[in-house]
Formats: sequence, structure tokens, C-alpha cells
Amino acid sequence: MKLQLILLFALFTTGLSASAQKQYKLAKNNGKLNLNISGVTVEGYDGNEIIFSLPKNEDEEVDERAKGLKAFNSSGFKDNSGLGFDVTVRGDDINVNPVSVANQPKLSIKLPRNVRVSFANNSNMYQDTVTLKNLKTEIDVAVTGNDIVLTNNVGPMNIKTLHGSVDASFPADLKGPISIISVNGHVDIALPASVKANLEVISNYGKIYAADDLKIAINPASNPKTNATGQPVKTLTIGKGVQALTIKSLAANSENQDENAPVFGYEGGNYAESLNGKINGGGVDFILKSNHNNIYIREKK
Amino acid sequence: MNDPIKDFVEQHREDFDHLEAPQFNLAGFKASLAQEPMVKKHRILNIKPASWMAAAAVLLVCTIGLWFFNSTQQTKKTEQHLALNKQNKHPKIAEKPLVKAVTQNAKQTQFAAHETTSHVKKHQSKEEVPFIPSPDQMLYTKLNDSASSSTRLAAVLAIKKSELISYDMLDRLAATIQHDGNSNVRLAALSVLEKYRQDAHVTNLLVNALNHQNDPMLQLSLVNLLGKMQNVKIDERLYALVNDPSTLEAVKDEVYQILLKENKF
Repeated sequence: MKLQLILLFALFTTGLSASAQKQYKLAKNNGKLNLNISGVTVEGYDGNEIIFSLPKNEDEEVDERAKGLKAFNSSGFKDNSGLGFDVTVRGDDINVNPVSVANQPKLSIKLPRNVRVSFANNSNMYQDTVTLKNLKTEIDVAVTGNDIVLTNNVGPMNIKTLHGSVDASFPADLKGPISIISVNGHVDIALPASVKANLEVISNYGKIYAADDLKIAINPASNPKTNATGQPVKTLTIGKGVQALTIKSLAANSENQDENAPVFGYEGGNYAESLNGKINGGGVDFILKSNHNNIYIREKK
Repeated sequence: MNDPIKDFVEQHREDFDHLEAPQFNLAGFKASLAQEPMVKKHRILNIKPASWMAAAAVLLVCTIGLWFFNSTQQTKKTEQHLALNKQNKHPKIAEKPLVKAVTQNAKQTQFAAHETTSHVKKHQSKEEVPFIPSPDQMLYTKLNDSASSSTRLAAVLAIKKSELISYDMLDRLAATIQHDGNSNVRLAALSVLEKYRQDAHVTNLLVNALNHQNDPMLQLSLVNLLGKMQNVKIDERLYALVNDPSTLEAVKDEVYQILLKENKF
């Protein structure tokens, strides 16, 4: 009897939470989802429908006069989803645009595995966190100020944010290339110890931190470079910040340091830090860059 | 309404009607129709054989001239359009241009063979020489893949890893820096050009890229890169960037730093 009561309660709670959401479903399991909105949470799943959902706001005022009508905006977008967003399918592209730019709720989307994602937001005022998780296809994010959270995405991916930061956690089974760049925000990535990767990390005015446990093998320095006429190019190498970490791992990996000195610093740079290396012999290409902030490369526990 | 011309015609109708239409000569008409093609044929045949010979001679001279000009240009390209990726220590670098030249010759041979088979196709069984695109052509195709930015990025990284690069490829990468829709791809292309920045042509490409760049990420990297290089004239563009209200603050900071360092601000 007790068990039946618990079961009944669980079903009631599930039903209640489902009814507390507004949903719009689109039968599409391939193509590219282009999101031109302020923020989003996208999660990959094994299904054939793109499910858009919003938490139901109990305090939301219902305009009785607008019943049976649809909201339009000056760009011609109309609320055809019932969620305040215009969802239009054009060939392989599924375009999502807000009807009201100023009052955008944060959309949650469940995405079939084969649908690619592209997120763009050039607004300086309306920015919310972009969370992408469990996706197995190509990801493309280009934003001005959004913070970006990436969890368990296979790749490949191109991530760009001018003022936001990027926090990413990757699975071991990756597809490259993976490029993450920010001007003012930090870049923080967590990699499994078993991942095979080539790292190209640059921070102009920040520092680079890396976990010793990842055993990053720093690439040997290239020999003095020459130009097309054979004249040698002077190379100036400066390192700071992450030196302690990487030189330590280099000492363990490199037997002949005279010939294979680490590439550290940036030619002719005053403050820039760079790290070029391999994890587990190399594999997927990673490009990590932050102009004014730090870059963290940690082991995923 | 009184019409004097109408009245005049009515009055003199008999004078107008005294002429009769001649009898239609059907046989004569048919004969004239039959004769017309003969006349045309006569005109065509009327061209003297000497004119044909003169035209053929001119065509032959033009073809030989064009072939000779093309072959000279091809040799020049092979010799000139190779930029080495530095490193004198490794002897394999010296061998690479030869490999490149051989590949290009092989490509021409393949193309010629392909053309020949298409002419003789009717008489031969299925002995076709498949056209294999060169690695450069494959990279060009990937570099122009508008559907996937990751494919383009992978192509740029593949170019970066190769030790040899042609000026043609550098030009294409400069176009990528200017026109690609994705900043990550543009930055990766810039990092390739940065490797060869000691070359005068590449320096010009970089200066040109800064002069026309509208992506703040690229502006920042280009200002940072060119600001450190000696003998590069970018002052006008730097002043334009700091005076433009739409320029990103981080870019302006970078420009100020360079101008202050050289006491130009």
C-alpha cells in the first residue's frame, strides 16, 4: 500500500512538472538549428523531434484581447511557436528568432543527435548564458557578451565570445578541430586524462594554467627561422606565469633540452604567453585563446 | 463629313480600275524557288581555297604561340611560387620543391591522359584514367566549404602543418582572413600567414588585411602582430582605428600601446 502511494505521488509530481512547461515540437532530425536569440540551453537526446520548452510563468499576465492572435515584430517574425519565438524551416536550416528582443525568456531545447547547432548573438544588451550539452555534431557559437558553458560535447566546434567566458568539459571521444577564443573572458577547459590532443594555447595579457596530471609534452622549439632569402630571423622567447608547470613536465619528458628547448612565450611579445604541446602523443586539434584573461586546462575527474 | 479626297476617288473610279492584275505564273514561281538554294551554294563554294589556307596558317601560328607562352608561364610558376618554411638544418626541405614540381607535372599528365581518353572513348572499352585532385585542390575545396566552418578550420590547420606553401595558397588564406564568415577560421588563417611574416609579399597581405578588416578579433591580432614588426607602415590605419567610435575598446588599447611605444601619439 505504501509503495502504491509513493508511486502515485511520483506520477502526480511528474505530471505536475510537465504541465508547468510550455512546449513546441518540430519533427526534424537533421539539418542545422540557427539560434539568433539572447540565451539558451540545448541538450542532445536520442529522438526525432526538436523540443522547444519554456517554464510556465504563473505571474505572467494574459492579454484577453490577444486571444486567437499572434504577436508580430518589425522584422516580420511572428510567434508561430506559442513561446514568443519565430521558428521557421528553410530547407536544411531551422531558424529561431525572437519576436520581442527585449523580453526574451530563456529557451530550453532538446535536440536530436544529428542536428547541428549555430548560435549567434551580437546584442550588447540582451545576453544570457549559452549552455550546450551532450551534442554529437558540429557546434558554432559567435557572440558578443554571452558566457558559454559546454558539457560533454563531442565536437567539432568553433566558439567565439568577445566579453564572455567559456567553461567546457569534454569527453574522451572527441572530433576536432576545437577552437575556443575570447577577448576579455577566461577559457576554462577540463579534459579526461586519456584524451589525445594537440594544444595551441595563447593568452596575450593573461596567464596559462595547466594540470600536471595531463602530462602535456611541450613541442620542441623550431630552429632559427629564415626568410625566403635564407636570412635568419631573430627569435626572442619570453615565458612567465605557467613556466613552473610546463617546464616541470618538460624536464620529465625531454632528455635533451639543449636541442629540444620548449616553445614558450611569443616571438617579440612583451607579455604574451603561449603553449604548444601534445597530450598522449597528439590527436584532436585544440586552439584556445584569450587576449586579456587566463586560460585553465584541467583534468576532468 | 465632307472629304474631298473621297469625293475625288468616287468621281474618278473608272480611271483607277482600268488596270488588271497579271496572271499568276505558278510554274515560274516554283522554278524561282528551286533556284534559290543553288545560288546560296554557289556563294559558299565561291570562296577561294587560298583564303582557307591563309586562315588555317594564322590559326596554327596562334595555337603554337599560345602553347609556347603557357609552357613558359608554367615553368616560371613552378620556380617562383614556392615559399620555403625556413629551417636550413633539415636537408629534406631542399628536396620538397622538387616533389612539388613533379606533382604538378603529374597533374598535367593526368589531365592530358584524361582528355585523350575522352576523344578515343568511342573506340575503347572502359579504360578511363580517373582524375585525382591534388592535395592543394582538395584543401581549396575544403577551404571554400560554406556549409561547415569546422571543415574550413580543419583545412587551414592542415595547411599550417605542411612545411611548404605556395604564394597562391597564401593569397587564398589572405582572402579567408578578409571574407570568411567565422572568426575562428579567420584567426587560424592569420596564424598561418604569421609563420611566413618575414616574406615581403606576406607582409603586404597582412597590412592589406588590417586596412580592410572589420572583425574586432582579427583587428586585435593584426594590430598586435604588425605592431611588433619593423618597417611596416600602418600608422594611418592605427589612427583611423582609434578615431572610429565603433572600434572595440580592447583594439583601441592595443593601438594606443603601439603608438605610445613609438612616441606617435
